[in-house]
Amino acid sequence: MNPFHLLHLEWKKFAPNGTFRILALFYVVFYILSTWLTFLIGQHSTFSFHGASINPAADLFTFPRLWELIAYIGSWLNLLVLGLMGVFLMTLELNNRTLRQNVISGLSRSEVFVGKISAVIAIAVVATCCYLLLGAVSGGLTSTSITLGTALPAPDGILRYFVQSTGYLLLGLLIGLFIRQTALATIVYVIFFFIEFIFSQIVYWTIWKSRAVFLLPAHVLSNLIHFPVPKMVNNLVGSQTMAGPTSDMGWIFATGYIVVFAGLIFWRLRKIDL
Amino acid sequence: MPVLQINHLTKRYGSLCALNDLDLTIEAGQVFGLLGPNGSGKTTLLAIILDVIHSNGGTFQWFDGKYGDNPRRHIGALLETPNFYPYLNADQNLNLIATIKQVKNPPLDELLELVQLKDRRRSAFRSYSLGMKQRLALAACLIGDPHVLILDEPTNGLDPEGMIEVRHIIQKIAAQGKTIILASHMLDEVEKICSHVAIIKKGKRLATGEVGSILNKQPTVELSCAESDTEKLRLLLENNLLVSQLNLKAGRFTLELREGHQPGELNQLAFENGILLQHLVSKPRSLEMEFLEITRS
Repeated sequence: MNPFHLLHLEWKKFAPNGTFRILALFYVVFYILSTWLTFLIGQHSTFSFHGASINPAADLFTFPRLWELIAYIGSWLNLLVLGLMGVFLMTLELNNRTLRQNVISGLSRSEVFVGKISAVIAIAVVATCCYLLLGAVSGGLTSTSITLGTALPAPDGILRYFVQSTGYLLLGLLIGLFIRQTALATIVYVIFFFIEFIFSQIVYWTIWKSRAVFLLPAHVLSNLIHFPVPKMVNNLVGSQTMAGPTSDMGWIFATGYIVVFAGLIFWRLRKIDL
Repeated sequence: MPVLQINHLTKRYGSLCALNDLDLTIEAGQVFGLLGPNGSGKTTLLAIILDVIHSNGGTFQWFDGKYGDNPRRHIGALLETPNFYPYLNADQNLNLIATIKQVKNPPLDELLELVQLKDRRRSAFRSYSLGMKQRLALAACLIGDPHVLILDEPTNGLDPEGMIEVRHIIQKIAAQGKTIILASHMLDEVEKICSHVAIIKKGKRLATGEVGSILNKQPTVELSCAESDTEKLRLLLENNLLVSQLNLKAGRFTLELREGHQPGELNQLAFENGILLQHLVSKPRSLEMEFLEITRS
């Protein structure tokens, strides 16, 4: 079966599922709601950040800076909702033993893998489209002078959003495949980020004071998208003191982790007794 | 042409050997019964040949390799319990199976009619009774008109009515000339349906062949006499070369004759020794008796 057939199969399995629908709805509604609330709170206020005076309505909520803000809001939903969706894509099948039935009915283990990866990519594409749509609509409503040069998001920004979505989904899928139980896998997914944060802080402050410590998967994925204010302040005060971690390394590592996650999922699916 | 050829299949779970160097050949058109007590390795064997679990050694080949390394689209299988998406209804679940099997326009009406689920086709799978789930699994097995059907304990957990329903469906399918592999410990079921049988215990094949060839030709005989002659008859039967096994329960003897002897000879023997038999019945041996004897030996 080709990947499109396998994606169609995944769609038939999950589209009617209540939990999947709620998660998808949650993503869209909370994305809109969080953006709206941010605008509502920030539009009439100004604040000072590291000596720079910022007016969100003019500096953050308009093109082109708006794209970064929308991506940052979305990155939290990617972490929370898409990761759980990844967990769910796998544990639902394992708990109901439907993956086993799919193989009995004629799906090869490689096809199971391609099906899941296709679903992950499709969800990441839809999430990225949500980001683009919300950015375009919000920017259209808030920006006074719109030109093609400012209204379009940076291609690198779109890719970052897509890669982060894919990374969280795959991490969820991987944890789901190893843990098998939905509730436990969800807890492990959430705890994973805390443990990695605590571990990297301990190592950094006690053993090895190198930025390489922060190249662990959760950190790398979350650092693909930054809170736009520090960068904006840099531009305003002309300083590099607030610069975030170097992005190029993050790119390489994020892509590397995605390949590792996918490889582990493939290996596990080949070896597992269903 | 062998539909399935199994050579030296072995599966270990730690120190437990679930399948031990098992060989088996199943030919096209056979209704093949796989018999064994619980934990004998029947389900493990079926799970391996369906690629659900991995073996530790040995090989198996479906259809002489005709369909490459994924022949399962030409096989319909129900392994242990029916596994479907609980929130999907019968139509949606069957359509999913049809997509996997690459069957366009599956005859869902016909299949649901056969398993008597047409009225509940729009109900979610989670709302089905165990019997309905089992029947839906049978319908799923038939999608794509597969060459082989594998049914693992298809009447497990069903009430008597459900058992009869499922048994009728299997008999209907068997009548169409399909190859069926039926794993069960319901021996009467296997005896009624199957043409061939293999008996497995602790992962080892103890016997295989046509059901007729597995069954011992010598019948079991029941006899009784007047109460005053019972002890005399017991001594006579115990010390006689006609009889191989003898049991006495509630004044009634149950015995097996040695090969080449007929029940009538017992009547003659008793009469010659002054005992008048009041009851003499010859019963052909059932698969159940044969199974118990083979698995206990």
